[in-house]
Amino acid sequence: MLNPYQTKLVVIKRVIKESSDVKRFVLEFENNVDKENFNFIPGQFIKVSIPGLGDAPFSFGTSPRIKENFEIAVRAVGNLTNFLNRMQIGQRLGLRGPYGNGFPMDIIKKRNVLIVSGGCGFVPFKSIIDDYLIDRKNYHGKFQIFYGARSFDDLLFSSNFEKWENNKIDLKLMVDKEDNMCKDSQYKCNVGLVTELIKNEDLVEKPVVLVCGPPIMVKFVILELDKLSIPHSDIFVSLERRMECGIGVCEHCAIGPYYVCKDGPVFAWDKIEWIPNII
Amino acid sequence: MTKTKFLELINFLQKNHKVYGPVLDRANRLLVREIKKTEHLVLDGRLTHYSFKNLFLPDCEPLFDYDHQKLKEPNYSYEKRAIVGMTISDLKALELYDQVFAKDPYYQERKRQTLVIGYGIASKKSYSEELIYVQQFEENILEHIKFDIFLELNSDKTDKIFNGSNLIFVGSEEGMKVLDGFGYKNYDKIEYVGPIKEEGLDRTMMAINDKMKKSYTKKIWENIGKRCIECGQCTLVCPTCYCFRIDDEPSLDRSKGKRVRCWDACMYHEFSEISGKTRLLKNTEQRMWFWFYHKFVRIPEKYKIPGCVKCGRCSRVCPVDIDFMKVLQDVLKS
Repeated sequence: MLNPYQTKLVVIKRVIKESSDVKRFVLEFENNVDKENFNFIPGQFIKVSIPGLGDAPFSFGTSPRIKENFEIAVRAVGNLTNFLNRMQIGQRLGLRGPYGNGFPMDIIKKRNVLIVSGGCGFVPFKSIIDDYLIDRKNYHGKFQIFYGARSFDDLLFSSNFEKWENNKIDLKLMVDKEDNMCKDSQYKCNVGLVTELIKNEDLVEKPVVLVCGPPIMVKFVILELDKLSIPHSDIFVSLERRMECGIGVCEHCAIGPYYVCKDGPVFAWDKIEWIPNII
Repeated sequence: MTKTKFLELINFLQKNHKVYGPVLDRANRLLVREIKKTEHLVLDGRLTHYSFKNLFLPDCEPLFDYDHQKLKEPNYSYEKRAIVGMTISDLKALELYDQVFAKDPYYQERKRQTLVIGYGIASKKSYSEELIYVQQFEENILEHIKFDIFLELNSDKTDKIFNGSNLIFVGSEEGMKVLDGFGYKNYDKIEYVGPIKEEGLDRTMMAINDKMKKSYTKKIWENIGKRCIECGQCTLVCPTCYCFRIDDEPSLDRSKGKRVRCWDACMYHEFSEISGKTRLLKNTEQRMWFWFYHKFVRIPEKYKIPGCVKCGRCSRVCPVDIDFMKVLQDVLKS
């Protein structure tokens, strides 16, 4: 019988510092069969294991089209992530997954897309955007991104912004307070909350909206989207919950009748909005 | 089958099984322990204090021995066991584990090495409250629970429970083999037809399910949220509580250790904690609702079987006297 908790080994191929506390890790399967069999959908997640410290869920930050390797972004907040962020090229990690349901890629490819995100919540969207950049002919709508973080330094993937804009992605940034990094950059840093962008900017027409960020942000983003009468079935939210097993057994990530690890982490908002204390 | 004969069967099983069953401890609590002497076995109709779950899902069990990044399944052999004295409600919970842990190699292997001997008292006379499960001896119930051997006691006298006409049923090849080997022929075979009766899920359960889904009656949850002290005892004794966390236990040199799976409880604060110490179940009220929602919505919806086997162990252990049946009645009335 297959052991659902067994991990496969990956090697750290590159480590890139993204911000003061976030690093990107390029990971490659040690075993070629594992590499060939590995497929994922943007928005799904893996559990990265560090024996002695446990395991933790991470989103994919690269296009599933790239088979050679994939990326995760790690913010040093706890024991495992602090340890992980000190790891070096060539060291090995265990992982299992991918788990859950990702973003609705068939809808995303057909429609105008508005991405609203805060902080580290942006990682799964990087996967979608990378995919769009590689496979543009199959994406038929416009992309608009509203991305907020504490400071310019905390905005992940800033080295990609120029490329995104050159590829007709409408990118709007928001920070809590303006700093020198912001002033020195070629981008306009709006100061305030990401919800203000929804209020003040012209939105792409009839968008499918993808949301991922801190619960408090998600809550106010939806309130703002409601003012524009965007149907809740067009809003997809990626939720964060504690996950131990990743396969819908341990109960930690349960919300109402669903499991975030198995039925999510991406949910159409109309499916879950009625659940008490959902965000 | 007479009591003497039944105890002989236990002796027979002890030759190549570790036999577990209900025994009394010094505080007069009925606990599930290894039966060394058959006279210690207590089958008097009472429910055991804890459920039988830790024999199937140990409170802490190693999943792997790790060495640096490599995880290796521990190399131990699962003992051959016979578990005696599971009541109908305990057997109903076993059906749930079978489904929840269908793809779990640890559970499946342990289960494969286990002979399950259930028992129940089929009596028309009602017993005291403590013998709550007796009332669950519904018609045709044996077709809807899984067991290897089942002992049906037919007695109207609590003190002479074994003195009536006792029947033996087998529910599996394994059970039949054991009885044949023992030399006992006078049994009936029961064909398992699935956990749900023809008329569908229990109506009360369905009604609770419906109410829980349709509304969040703040008053009910706020009220028990105020009383509950989050000791987690209800989750410990509940046969259908099976949530767990996975922990690593490093040895001194840190590169080696064990990855273990241990029982958790949704009453505990850390249960829903994510990075940055954020807790998504914020207070007792929310945690209580979460517990009930698992039993009465998530389990029946996902596995099509009731998430509560009505053993009443939760109410029995609650130190602040929360009457869980009363809470359900409030939910029904809401």
